[in-house]
Amino acid sequence: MSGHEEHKGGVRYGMVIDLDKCTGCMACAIACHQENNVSFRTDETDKTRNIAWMRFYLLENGKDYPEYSFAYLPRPCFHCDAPHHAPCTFVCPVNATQRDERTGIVNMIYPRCIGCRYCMVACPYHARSFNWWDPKWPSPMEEMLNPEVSTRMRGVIEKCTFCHHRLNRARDKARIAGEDPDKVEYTPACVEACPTGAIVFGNLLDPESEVAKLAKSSRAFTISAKLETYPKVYYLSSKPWVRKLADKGL
Amino acid sequence: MKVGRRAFIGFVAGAVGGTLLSPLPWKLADDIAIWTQNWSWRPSPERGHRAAKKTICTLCGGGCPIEVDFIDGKRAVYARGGDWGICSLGASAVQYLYAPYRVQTPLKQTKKRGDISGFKPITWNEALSEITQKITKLLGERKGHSVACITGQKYSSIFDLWKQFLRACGSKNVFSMPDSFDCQRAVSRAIFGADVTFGFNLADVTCVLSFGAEWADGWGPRAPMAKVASGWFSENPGKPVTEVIHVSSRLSMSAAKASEWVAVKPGTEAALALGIAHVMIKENRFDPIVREYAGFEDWTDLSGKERRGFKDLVLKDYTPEKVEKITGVEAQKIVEIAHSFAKHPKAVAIWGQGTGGPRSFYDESVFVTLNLLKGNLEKGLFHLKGNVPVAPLPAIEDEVVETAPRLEVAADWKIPFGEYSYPLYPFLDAVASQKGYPIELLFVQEANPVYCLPESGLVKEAFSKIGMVVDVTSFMDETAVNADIILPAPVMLERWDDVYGLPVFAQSMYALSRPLINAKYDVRHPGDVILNIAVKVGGTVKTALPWRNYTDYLKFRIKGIADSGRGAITNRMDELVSVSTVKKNFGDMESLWRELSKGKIWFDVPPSAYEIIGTDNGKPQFSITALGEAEMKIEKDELLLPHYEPFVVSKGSGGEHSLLLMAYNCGFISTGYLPNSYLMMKNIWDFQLKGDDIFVEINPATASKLGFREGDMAVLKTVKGEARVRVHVVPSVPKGVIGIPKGFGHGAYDVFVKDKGTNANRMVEIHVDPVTGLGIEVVTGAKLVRA
Ligand code: SF4
Ligand code: SF4
Ligand code: SF4
Repeated sequence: MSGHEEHKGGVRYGMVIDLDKCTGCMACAIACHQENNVSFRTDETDKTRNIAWMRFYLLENGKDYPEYSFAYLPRPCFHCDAPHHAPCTFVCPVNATQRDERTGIVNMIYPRCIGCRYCMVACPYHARSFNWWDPKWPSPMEEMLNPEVSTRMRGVIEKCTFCHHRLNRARDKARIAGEDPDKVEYTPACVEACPTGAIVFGNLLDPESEVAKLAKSSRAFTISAKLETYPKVYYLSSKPWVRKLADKGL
Repeated sequence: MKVGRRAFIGFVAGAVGGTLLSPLPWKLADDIAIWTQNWSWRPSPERGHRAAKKTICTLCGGGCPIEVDFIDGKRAVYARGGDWGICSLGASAVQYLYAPYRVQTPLKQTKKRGDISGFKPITWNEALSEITQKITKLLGERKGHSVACITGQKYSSIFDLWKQFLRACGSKNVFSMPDSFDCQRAVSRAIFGADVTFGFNLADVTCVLSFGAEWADGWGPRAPMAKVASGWFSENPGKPVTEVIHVSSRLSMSAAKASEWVAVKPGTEAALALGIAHVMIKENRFDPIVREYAGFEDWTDLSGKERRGFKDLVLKDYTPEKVEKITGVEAQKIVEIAHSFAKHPKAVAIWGQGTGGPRSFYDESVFVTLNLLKGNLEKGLFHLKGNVPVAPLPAIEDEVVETAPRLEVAADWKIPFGEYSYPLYPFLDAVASQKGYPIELLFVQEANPVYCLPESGLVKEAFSKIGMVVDVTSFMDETAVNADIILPAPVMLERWDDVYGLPVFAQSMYALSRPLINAKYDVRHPGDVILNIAVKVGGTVKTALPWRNYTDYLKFRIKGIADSGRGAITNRMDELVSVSTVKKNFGDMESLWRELSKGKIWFDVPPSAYEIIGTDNGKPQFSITALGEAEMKIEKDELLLPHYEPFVVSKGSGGEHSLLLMAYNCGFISTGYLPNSYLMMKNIWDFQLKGDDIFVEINPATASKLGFREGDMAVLKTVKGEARVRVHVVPSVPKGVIGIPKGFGHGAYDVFVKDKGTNANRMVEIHVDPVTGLGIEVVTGAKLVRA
C-alpha cells in the first residue's frame, strides 16, 4: 500500500512523468527555475554545488553502438508520502521542512533552516540543493524576479515546492469565489511548459483525475520503490530497460 | 522505514556525486548562525499584481503563441506557452529581455575592429548619418552593388524590406543565415517546376521515416514539433502508435525516441533511401502514378540524347547489396525498412542534417522521390506550400536602378540553382578572396555569423575585407564585437514583428508579435533603421520604401492577406498542423490587424499541388531537365536524376586526420543568434561541459584504441583548427567518429557563457553544393591526441 492511500478522501498532489514522451527539451526546468527565482552562477557544471529544483538524470541501456540507447529523467522533488514523515522532514532538527498533510506537499521554511544539511543527506533522490553562496542576479536581472516566491540566502536548503505559491493563489481565488479551497486544481510551471504533455499533475486521491489513472497504469513505476519513501512523482515507460533501472541496486 | 542513498546513486549513474562527498567541510555552529541572519542583501522583488499578456514568439521563426506574466504591467517575470507548451528558448524570453549584455545605445568602434574597448556611444543621428554618407558616396560612384546584408530573420517581412532597400541601392547581395530548409526551393524548382518549400501533414501519419531530421534536437519549431511528436508516441484507442524510423549516424535524442534507429555511415542517408526505393520499385510496391512522371522511365533530353530513367538507375545501381556497402546497413535490414515504409498507408519521408544546416541538392531530391513513390502528393501527406498572400513590395525597374549581378556570380561561381537559394558561402569566399567586386558596406541584422557559421575562419577572413560592418543587434555578440557601428535593436516583447513560421507543416501561417513592454534602452526596430536610412539617402531609395515606420509597413503587408480573402484566423494550434478546410473569418485590414495583435494566427490549407506545379506536362518529374537547360554540359545520366553523391572529406596531409568529427545540435542548447540563456546553462550536462572544458563524444572502441579514458584531456585537430577538449566515452557515435556539441565556446556576451568550451563551427569544414551553392556540413577529418 502506498503512503498516500491512507489519506482517502483528502488531497494528495502528485505528478506523473512519461519518459517515453519526454524529449529532454528541458523547458520544464527553465520554466521552474524562472518561476521560482532559482539563482545561477557563472559555473553551473559542478552538479554537486549548483542549485536545481528540476534536475535531469541520464538513463542508458548499457549496450554498444548501434544498440545503445538513452533517455532523460526529469526529477523534481518527489514529495515523499511515507507514513508520518518524508525522509527529509524526519531528520530536520528545526522543523524547517515539513509535509503539509492537507495537500501532501513537502515545503521549506527558509528562515527556519539552519543549514545543517541533514535533509540533503537523507533525501535518497538528491532533490535538495544548498545555497553555498548568496544569490546574486547580474544587473538588471533582478527585475525578472517573481515576487510570489522569496529568494533564498546563503546557508539554506531549497528544493521543488510543486509551485506551492500557485496552489495558494488558487486557494485564495476559490475562497473569494466562495468555493472549497481544498478542491482546487492548479498547474505547476514545469507542467505548463512541457510541449509534449509528458508531465501530468493533479490530485492522486481523486480516482477520476488523469494523474491518478496514469499512476495506476501498467507503465507506471516509482524510483527505488523498495526504499518505501512513497514518492508522489510517478514515471511512465514501456521500455523494459528504463523500468529496470528504477529498481537497480535494491 | 528504510532510507538508503546507494540505490538511487546506482540508478542515476553519472549523477550528482552525493552531498557527503562535498569538498567543503561541514560548517561550525557559529557559521550557521551567521548564515541564518544573512537577510538584508537578499534581493526582495517588489510586490504587485501578476497578470499575463499574450503575444507570439519569434525567437526561432516558429511563431508559437505565448503569454508573459508581468508585475503591475511593468516587470516581465515569466513566459509560458499556449496549449502547446513552450521550448527552452521561448521559456527564456524574459532572461533575454533583462540580459546584461544587451546593447543600450548606438556604438562606434574607435580603435581597431574587434577591440571591445574601442566602442564609444554615439547618438542615433550620428550613427545613421555616417551610414547614409557611406551609402550616398557609393551611389555617387555607381557602386550601390557593394552594399550587402545578412539577416537572421528569414521568416519575417523584414527579409523583403532588406531586399527592397538593397535593390533600390542597386544590390542583390541579400543573404540569410542557413537552416535545414534552405535547399527546398531549388529541389522544388527541379522536380515540380515551382519555387516553393515543402510541408508535411505530420499530425496524421502512421509511419515517419526520418533521414537525419532531428525533430527532438532543433529541426523545425521546437515546441510544436515536440507536441506533434508526442502524438506519434501516444497510444490512444483507435489510433495506433506511429512507427518512427530514424536514420542517422549519431544516436541523438530524436534517434533514441524513434521506434527504430537505423545507424548509417556519416552522410549516406540518401543512399539508404535509394535502397528503399529499389525494393519498392522492384517489388512493385509504389504508387503507379509515378510512371506518368517524366524521367521515371528512360527519357530523351532536349538535344535528343537518350538518358537513363530513375527506375533503371535505382534498379541497377542501388540494390540492397550495393547500398549495404555504402551505408553499412545490412541488405536484409534495408528490405525490411522498405517493406515497413511500403506497407504503411500513411508514411512520409522527412529529412534534415544533425549539424543543423541544409543537405545537398541531390540528397534532398532523393528524399522527395520517396514521397512521390508513396503517392504522398495525392494522399495529402506531402505538400508544396502555398505562399502567404502578404502584399508584395513595389517593383523597381532596371531602368530606374541598375543592379550588378550578385557577388558570387561576378566572382564567376557557376551555381545553376543559386537563384533559389541564398549561397552565402560562395559570397563569403568571393569577399575573402577579393574576387568580383569589393563589399564596402555590410549590414548584419539579428544574426551572429561570426559565431554561428561553420568555418568561422572563412567568415572572419571575409569580414576583414569588408569596408564597413554595421550590426543591427540587441546583444553584444561576436559579430557586434567585429562591427564598426552597432545599432541596438529592441528584443521580442518590446516590438512589433511578423512571422511566417518555419516550413515543416503543410499549412501556411502568418502571425504578429506585439510589444508587451516599453523598450528598455535607446533602441530602434531594425525595420525602422532601414526606413530611417532610406529617408536620409533620399531619391529612389526613399521612394522605393514609402512607409513612415515599420508598423505601417506591416499593415501594408497584412492588407494583402485581408484583400486576398484567403485562409482563416485561429487560436487553436491543432488547426495549424492538421490539414482541414478553412472558412474565412476575418474582415478588412484593420480588423485582421486587431485579431492578429491579440495573438490569433492566420493560416491557410495548402493549395492542390497541381495548381503550383510548373513543369512542362504539369506533373512532377524525376529528370532534372532544368540542370540541362542551365547550359551545363552534363554527360553522366545520373547527374540529371536524384541520386547519391558521395562527398570527400579532407584528411589533411598524409591522411593524418583519419577520424571523423561530427558536430551536433541538442534541443536544450541554443546554437543560433541567441546564446544559451542563464537558466539554459544550468541544464547543460556535466559530460558536455565541465568548468570551461567541452567534451567530445567517442565510442569505447575508439577510446581504447587511442588510450583515452572518461574525462581525459585531449587536443582535437582538424584541417580548420585545434582545440583543447575532454573525452566523453559513450557509444552514441560509432568507432572512428567524434561527436562535438554546437552552442559552446562563445567569445562574447558575459562571464556566464563566454569562453565556456569550444565553438564547434571553428573546427568544421563546409562543402559547397555545386547545384545550389549552399554550404553543407557533414563530417570533417580530425584527430585526437593526448593533451
Ligand atoms: S524527494 Fe527528497 S526532498 Fe523530496 S520529499 Fe522525498 S526525501 Fe524529501
Ligand atoms: S518539458 Fe516535457 S519534454 Fe521537455 S524535458 Fe521537461 S518533461 Fe521532457
Ligand atoms: S519553438 Fe520557436 S517560436 Fe516556439 S516557443 Fe520555441 S523559440 Fe518560440
